[in-house]
Amino acid sequence: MLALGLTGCARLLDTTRLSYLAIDESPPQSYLPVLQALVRTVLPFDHPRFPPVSPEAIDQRLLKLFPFRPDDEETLTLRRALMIFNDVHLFPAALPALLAQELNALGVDDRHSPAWSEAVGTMRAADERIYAQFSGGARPRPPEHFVDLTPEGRVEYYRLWSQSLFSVKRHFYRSTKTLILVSAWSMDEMWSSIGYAGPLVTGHDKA
Amino acid sequence: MTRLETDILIIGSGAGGGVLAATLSELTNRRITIIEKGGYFGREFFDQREWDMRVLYANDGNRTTADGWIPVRGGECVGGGTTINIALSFDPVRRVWDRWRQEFDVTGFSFDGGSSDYRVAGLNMAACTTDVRRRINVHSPDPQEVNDNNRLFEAGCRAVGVSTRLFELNMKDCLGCGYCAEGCAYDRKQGTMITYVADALSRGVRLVHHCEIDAIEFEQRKGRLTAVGARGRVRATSVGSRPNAVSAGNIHISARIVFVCAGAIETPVLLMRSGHPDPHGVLGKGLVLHPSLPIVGVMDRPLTNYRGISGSIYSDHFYESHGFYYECLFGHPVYGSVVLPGFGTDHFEQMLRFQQTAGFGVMLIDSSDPDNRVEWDPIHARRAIRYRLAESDKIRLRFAARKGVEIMLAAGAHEVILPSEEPVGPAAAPRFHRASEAAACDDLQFRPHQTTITSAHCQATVKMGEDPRRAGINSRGESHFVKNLLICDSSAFPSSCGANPMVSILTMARYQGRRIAAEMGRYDP
Repeated sequence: MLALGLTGCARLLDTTRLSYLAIDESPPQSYLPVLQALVRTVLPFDHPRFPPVSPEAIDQRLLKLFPFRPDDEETLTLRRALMIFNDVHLFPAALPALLAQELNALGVDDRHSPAWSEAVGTMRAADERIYAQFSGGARPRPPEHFVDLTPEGRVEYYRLWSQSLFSVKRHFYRSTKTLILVSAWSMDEMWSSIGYAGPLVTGHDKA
Repeated sequence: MTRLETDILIIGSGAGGGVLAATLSELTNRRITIIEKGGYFGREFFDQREWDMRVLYANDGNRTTADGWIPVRGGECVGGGTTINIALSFDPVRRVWDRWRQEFDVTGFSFDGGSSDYRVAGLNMAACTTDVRRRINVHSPDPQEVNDNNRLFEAGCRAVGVSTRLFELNMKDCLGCGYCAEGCAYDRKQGTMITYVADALSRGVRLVHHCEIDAIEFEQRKGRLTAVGARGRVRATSVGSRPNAVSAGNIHISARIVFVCAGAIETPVLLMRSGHPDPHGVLGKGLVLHPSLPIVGVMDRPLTNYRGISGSIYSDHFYESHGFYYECLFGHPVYGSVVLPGFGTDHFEQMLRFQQTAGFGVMLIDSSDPDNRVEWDPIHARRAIRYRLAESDKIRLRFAARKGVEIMLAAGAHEVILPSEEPVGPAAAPRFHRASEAAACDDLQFRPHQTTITSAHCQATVKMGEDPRRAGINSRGESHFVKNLLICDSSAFPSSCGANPMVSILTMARYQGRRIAAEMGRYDP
């Protein structure tokens, strides 16, 4: 299974980087709408050639393949990260906890060094710049939550996370994108749309 | 608690352990037990589905570097990596072993076919390579077995003056289904599970799978720390696995010789977890991954890509000058969807061109940097794979990407896509339509989580050599500090073995197996 290793989602699930950014527990009614909105952003269900697979079917499959159990420490980080992601206005904020995690990710030993300060300044300025491009011309200001953005706004906002110089933000982008793509493209129902004939052996149970 | 007694305990059933078990059972009458962490999944289980077959991989296919960026793929099942690789077979690279002799004080491993190393008649690498090649049926595919994807790669290389070669593969009468990486459902790929492990089992070797070793046990004997066995846990047998020899629960195995063949990630971790002495801080250091960069091209017409032999053409044109290979290969929809950049409509429209898509990869021979390492955190009982691409490696990867784009365009692609979200190229995206645009690859930064880098060839985390200040084991594979503890897998390589490592590991294991059988008295209590 080649793809799952590409996700890096295990690390996002079992490390605690972004979890420092949130204090409160994230109940399903809070993070599931964000996850569902991401599913509908990563997969273009309204594309004329998209196979007859509903968004709800992908939602269910994702939660089957990657269960978000309430007492599961491993998914706690992702649940909390989804909540932070949902808060659009937080994107350009260089929160101290995020800086701490970036420091750790980059293996920087001295957080007081001029080099680190300069690096943070560069990363932060870049995020502020791309966020300004995202939100700057909009009147009124964009909604405060990802789930409330227009489909086009969701695409633009989600792309910001792939372009941040903070690796922890790119990690979130890549992990969530991959969880969704793995959930979708492991379904037989998706394959005919791309001309993939699927396995040659028969008689095996499938997940 | 299950208690077993054995003469020889082999931890790991892959390229190293499988061959050792077969060779020692062939040449000695000792009792041998193989322990495998993963399950015993055979052809009846391999359903050619990417998601289902994740169970054949370490961490269910989700073993990555500590920052979550680079997947560190490895087999975790009977047969290890040889069960899930795509059969690419390179003989041991003689000049690499010669360099290890000079730089790491490695002894033995003569490549002269007339040599008798350790005074064992006919023991040399040439003879062992011949043995291995014969047993796993290494051969070049017939020209008619080369599919469109490989042909296009070959044509693209030729058009830009880059030489290519036919791979050698360990297959027998391949049916060309294209699912090597999901386990061969037809037993045509000659991995160790159906060759060497099968040989060993037929000679009475015991196999315990689903068994995680917590620690190797050491005792002081005659003034030397000596390996005397191991302890661990046997999990319940997974659905689809063949039956196990013992019940689930704790297990203790007493042994006179312990071999660790758990791969370059798990072997040093097991040594650290067991309290193996490491006075010079060698264990786990200098990890090599062979980082790989996929290159994707979109052709004007459908082609045979996911069917047929995945990899039959490669290029070592830049091996001497830049230290990398191009290797042709292709994936299936889950892998493909994850590799492709972007999301939403843009991504889906890339997927719609699946049948027109060609692919090959760059495989970089990376430097062995001591900062790249495997660590064991005893407090949290967690291992970490620390790895960072060296700047010198990034320079070579940029060059490889640039030439790779040119090759793919020359092969007829109207668009070349790099698996990256980096804003490079004429459209601030890594997509190329003309050879003149390929120079934009020089701007790639290879930022974590922005460009896809993969790996499957972890090596060099214990290292052999006669100097214990630089190597964890000697050239016989013996621990410098623990008697009767030997290592025989890719962790023993002092640096990259210079190619896809399977045959190098098998050959080393065949060599060590023959030597040990002849020197068995050396390991008597």
